[in-house]
Amino acid sequence: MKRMGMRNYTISAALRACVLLGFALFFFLSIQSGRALKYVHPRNIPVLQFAIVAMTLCAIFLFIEAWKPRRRLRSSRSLWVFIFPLVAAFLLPAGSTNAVSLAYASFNLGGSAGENLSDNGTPSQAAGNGLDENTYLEDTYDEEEFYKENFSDMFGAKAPEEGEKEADQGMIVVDTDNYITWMDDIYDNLEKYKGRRIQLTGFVYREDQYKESQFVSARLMMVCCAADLQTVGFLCKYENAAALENDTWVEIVGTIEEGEFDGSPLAMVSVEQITPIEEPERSYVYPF
Amino acid sequence: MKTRVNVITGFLGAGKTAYINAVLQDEKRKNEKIVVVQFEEGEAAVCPEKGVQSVILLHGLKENKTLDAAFLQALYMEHTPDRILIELNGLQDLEIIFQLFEQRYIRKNFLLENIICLVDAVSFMVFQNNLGEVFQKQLAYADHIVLNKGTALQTEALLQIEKAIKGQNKKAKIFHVGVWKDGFSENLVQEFQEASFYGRALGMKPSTVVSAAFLLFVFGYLVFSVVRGINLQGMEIDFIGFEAFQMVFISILMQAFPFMLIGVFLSALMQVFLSNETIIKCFPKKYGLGFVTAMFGGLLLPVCECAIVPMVSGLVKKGVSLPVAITFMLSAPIINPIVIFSTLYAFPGHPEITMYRVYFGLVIALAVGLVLAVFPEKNEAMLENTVLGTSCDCLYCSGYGEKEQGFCKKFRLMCLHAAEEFFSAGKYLVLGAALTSLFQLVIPNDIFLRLWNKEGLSLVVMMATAFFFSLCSTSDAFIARSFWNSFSTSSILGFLVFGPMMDIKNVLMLFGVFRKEFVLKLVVLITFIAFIMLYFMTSLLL
Repeated sequence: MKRMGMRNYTISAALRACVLLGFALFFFLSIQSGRALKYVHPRNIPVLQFAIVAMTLCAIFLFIEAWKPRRRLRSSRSLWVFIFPLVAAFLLPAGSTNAVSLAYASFNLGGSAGENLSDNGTPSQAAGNGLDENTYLEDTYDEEEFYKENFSDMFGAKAPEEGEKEADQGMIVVDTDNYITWMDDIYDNLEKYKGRRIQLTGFVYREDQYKESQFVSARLMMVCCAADLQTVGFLCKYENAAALENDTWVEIVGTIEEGEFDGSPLAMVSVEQITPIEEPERSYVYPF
Repeated sequence: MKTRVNVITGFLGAGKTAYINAVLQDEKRKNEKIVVVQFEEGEAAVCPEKGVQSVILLHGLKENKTLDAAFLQALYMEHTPDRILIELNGLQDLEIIFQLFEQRYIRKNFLLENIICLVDAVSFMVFQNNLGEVFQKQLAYADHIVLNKGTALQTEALLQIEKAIKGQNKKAKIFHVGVWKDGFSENLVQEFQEASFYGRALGMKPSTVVSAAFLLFVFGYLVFSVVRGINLQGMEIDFIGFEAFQMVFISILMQAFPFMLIGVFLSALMQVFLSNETIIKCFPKKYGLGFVTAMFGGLLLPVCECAIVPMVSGLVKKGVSLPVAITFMLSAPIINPIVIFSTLYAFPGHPEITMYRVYFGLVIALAVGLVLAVFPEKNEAMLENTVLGTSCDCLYCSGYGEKEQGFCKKFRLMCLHAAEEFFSAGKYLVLGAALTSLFQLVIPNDIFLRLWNKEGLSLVVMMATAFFFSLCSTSDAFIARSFWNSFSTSSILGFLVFGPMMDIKNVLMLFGVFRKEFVLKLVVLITFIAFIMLYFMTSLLL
């Protein structure tokens, strides 16, 4: 009989191996193309590499296993669950960050990386609370020092050097690596930075209650993975702000001023020069 | 055509020979050339009668034969039978049969159709209690279990026996037979062939694969055309939600899969390389010491909560007592050095948050463990009933078991183990990730924030947030930090402590390991204890 020659009974193992290889391939390709960084924090990359090796190993042994007859059968029905994310991962491109931010990332203006969600969800309140919180923090411990002593080296985040800040009254150049550190510091110590010139990049972001001349030069902040993306940034004042389209990436040179947002003081960048740019390769910023 | 082989096993007096006789008398087998090989000294004799012409009787024991490849080969050469019935004593290890029928030559000419286990219902409990593992293995390997002499028992007792059999072997078909001397019913004999797993495989597999491929194609095409269509028409508004869902979903998986793989590999490593004794030694049977290891074990095994469920199932399989394993499950993701470090970092200048987190984590873990120890589970909590406590029930171990020696073979076994567990736990992770991403998109972030006024309520809100958002314990401190302005410290602790212990994906993964009732009980217990502790203790401490 013909059916005896067929080794149907081992298909399940082969399918499993394929699913594993599929995931390994997806991880590999996303790391290669840098797309992985759209999804997870860079520190996850080594773990992903481990996963690739582990999955490939498992797949190889499963393929060997597929050539042996098995006593007990496994239903391969539950594999469906795995095929869905695989298809989703391969067929859909990682969304443009801006679209994603519009869809779900809540925006937080002001305050440090952490202190932003307010009780009623409006940025103004967040900003106010953020400032209050900071005075509290400074009473108990010097936050800045704590960061630098303990963590900045390990995480590779470059905290602005104390000396540099004091001596160099030139332009503050905010880049992807030091974005959060600068942002926290500027929001926390507005007095110290008032009048300093600043250069930063971000995408244009607006909410309904902003004035005509206001927009936010925003970045998406990733703590761990895309599931916790938050929009952060600096409030900017610009005469022709209305001409700026949302979600376009711009490089800004301006001066830090004390602005006002819904009645509370807040650092604001008065824009002097604005240049449209391409979306940078690393579009997220990381608090560490 | 290959020679079909049926193995009939069971203890002395279970009615094997009577069963064989019934099979031989079956009309359908009239034209088959059958060889009956007995490796058993039975009371009854095989008596081919009524027109069945070509039955050859061999008595393995009397002729001093062993059941091996050479024997079968010789048999095949001499008789070229259509079917071989092998009667085995219940004490015979069935693994030998599996290994025998995996040999190339044997596979070419023979087909192991099914294993039929005859069980004497009257003496079932006696065997169960006295023979333990041997008996259970026999049940576990059978495709077809015939419960003999059932009429002599009350219905209740029969149900109990059936339940016990199901516990050992979910897939086997169970048949009831009256008093065996009356012979076996027509019905039963007709079912003789049905349990053949090759038959079943043929019925299902190719169609499943074809339909799977087809559906996959349809789904893929659909998605592809949707993506293209929307890009062309620029209707991005509708698409954004889906895109965002996909982003969150894939990112959670990308984050959790590698950590889960670490967990399953650690678990498999334990399963394959460490003996049960070593594990038990690490988690001493004495509750006191066991709990101490469970509470602080996480310091040495830095696993996050994605990895912990497979680890715990591995520990329980290795014979660690359930309360201790659960304590380990609850404390390890919190006492993990990476978690402590990231909490310290997220709350700079406030080491007390980290201290409280660890403290409450340990206390709640211990409390839950103690409750489970004081009120032990009556029924087996694990899904795959491993009463033996020693054997792994997975596909690759049964058949070879722990006989595999040498590093390479063990390594292979470890990978297979890990893959197996990856798939069994992973499907719940995928579901959990999908649910979580849905929640993140559907529930506006600030809805929880609107509800926070009262202290008790805000604790509940934070615990619920932790549960539904299923954040990884290595990074949830940073999220918690963002709530710090709006919430009291005790509710932040609720988020930090309860989150790693319980969240959607963990609960789903637990369903894959433990019985439903046990998981529900555990969820309620943990939630309750965590709430009480955090609510009252924080008011004392803070």
